[in-house]
Amino acid sequence: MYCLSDKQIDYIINDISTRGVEMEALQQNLLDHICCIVEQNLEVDGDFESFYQKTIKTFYKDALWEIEEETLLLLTFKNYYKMKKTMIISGLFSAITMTAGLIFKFMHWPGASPMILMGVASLGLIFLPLMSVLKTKEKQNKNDKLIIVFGAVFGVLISFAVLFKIFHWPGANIMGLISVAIMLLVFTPLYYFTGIRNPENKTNTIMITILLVMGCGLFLTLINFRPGFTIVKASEKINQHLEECYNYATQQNSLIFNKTIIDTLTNKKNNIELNKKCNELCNAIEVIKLNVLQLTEQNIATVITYSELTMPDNYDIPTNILFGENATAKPQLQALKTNLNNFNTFILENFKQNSAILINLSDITNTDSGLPETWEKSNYYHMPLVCILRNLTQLQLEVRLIESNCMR
Amino acid sequence: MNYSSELIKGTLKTIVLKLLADNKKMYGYEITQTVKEQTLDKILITEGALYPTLHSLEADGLVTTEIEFIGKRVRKYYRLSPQGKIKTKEKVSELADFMNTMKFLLNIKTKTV
Repeated sequence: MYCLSDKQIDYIINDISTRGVEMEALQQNLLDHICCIVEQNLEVDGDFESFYQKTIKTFYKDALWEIEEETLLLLTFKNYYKMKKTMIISGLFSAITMTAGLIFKFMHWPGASPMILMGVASLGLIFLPLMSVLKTKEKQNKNDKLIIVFGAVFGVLISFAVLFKIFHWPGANIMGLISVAIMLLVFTPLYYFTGIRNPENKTNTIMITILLVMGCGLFLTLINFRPGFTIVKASEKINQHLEECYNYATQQNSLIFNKTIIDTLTNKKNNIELNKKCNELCNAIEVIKLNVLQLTEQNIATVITYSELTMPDNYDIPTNILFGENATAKPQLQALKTNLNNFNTFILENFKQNSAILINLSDITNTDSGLPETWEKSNYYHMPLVCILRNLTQLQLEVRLIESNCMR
Repeated sequence: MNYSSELIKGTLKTIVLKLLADNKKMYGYEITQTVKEQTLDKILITEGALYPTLHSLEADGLVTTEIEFIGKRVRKYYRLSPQGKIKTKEKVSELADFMNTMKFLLNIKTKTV
């Protein structure tokens, strides 16, 4: 009987590990097994290394790690039926909750959002990953496995992109674009070139590839990554028109002001103060407009060109610029409100004006929730860039109108 | 004559369980050698089939293990759990029944040919 030295045992364990067997329990099993064979079959003065190399080769077909792979397969196969059952239940749950959620949403019944959320979460986090794991196990071909994995990744991303879109959460568009990119640039070519090689599937492959490309095209059109062209054009016109009105009012006021300065009958001191306050307010509003524009569009424009806006519908960035935690206005917007309030007080005290012409800063009832909302939240929170710019120009115009009324 | 690996694969769990039922505790190499001796070299269990099966039986709770240190290496003994004893009976009777059915089925076929 051959007696193995510690060095030889180390040699065997290292070799097993180098050959790709990583599970410690399996390494120990194989080590003991090989040692037994060596001890039983090798002559006392035999050549250990060549005998070992010959023996280890009888353990496998192509590589030693096949044993570990087979072990892992058997261990995970145990959960196969549980996984399959979970997959079917989660799929059914997702289909039911999503359908019910969408019906609730159309009917404006309460509880629609959590249902849709649960449906998509169950689809994207349980059903699709489980399906891809189970299906990849069934396939032998590497390409078939890849197709399933990419298909599942696409499915998860697209379902979350739609979910984010429904809930107006940031990141929906980028997720949607990435998923369509995966579908068009990775999945479809892989699917097409794998399927086309098989003469039996040739027609089917071509048909499904066409359907996939068409589906992606339709999705891109439907998801509305950019706001509708007509809406963009309309808001561009509204903003330009309002801006022109404001500029005109500024010019006219300036002319009237210059006249009143010469006219000895008017209250010069008040008018000078009024003009100063109006200019300061309008300039402060212009600063906010440019600030929001520059940060949203990531440029350093000093003049607003409405026809060149690249993100007219973005509301995430403007909201982040103007509002902090819990939708409370940041100092910039708060300061504006204070200044407008002071302006109102100044007008009331110095000019005999009807309070109806003052800038309305009171709370406004939200038409969706029926609850009162602060002036700043109602005008600027979750508002697209074009609307924020419009509301601010409107404010500048209102200031100029008050100015002109007071100077008469 | 050696039997094909497909035939052995389908019956390996039963073979291992039955051996453990008869021998209380065994280690891997011992199992392969016992099968080889008892079947007069007709059934040769490969390492690639045996260890995955043993690990799977352990994960299913049908066998328990105990470790013995032999110098620098570790020997793992396998022993039937109470659950494994019940399973062995089921498996053996199932296989016996299956063999009878096969015998019957194949006999009929031989007659008709």
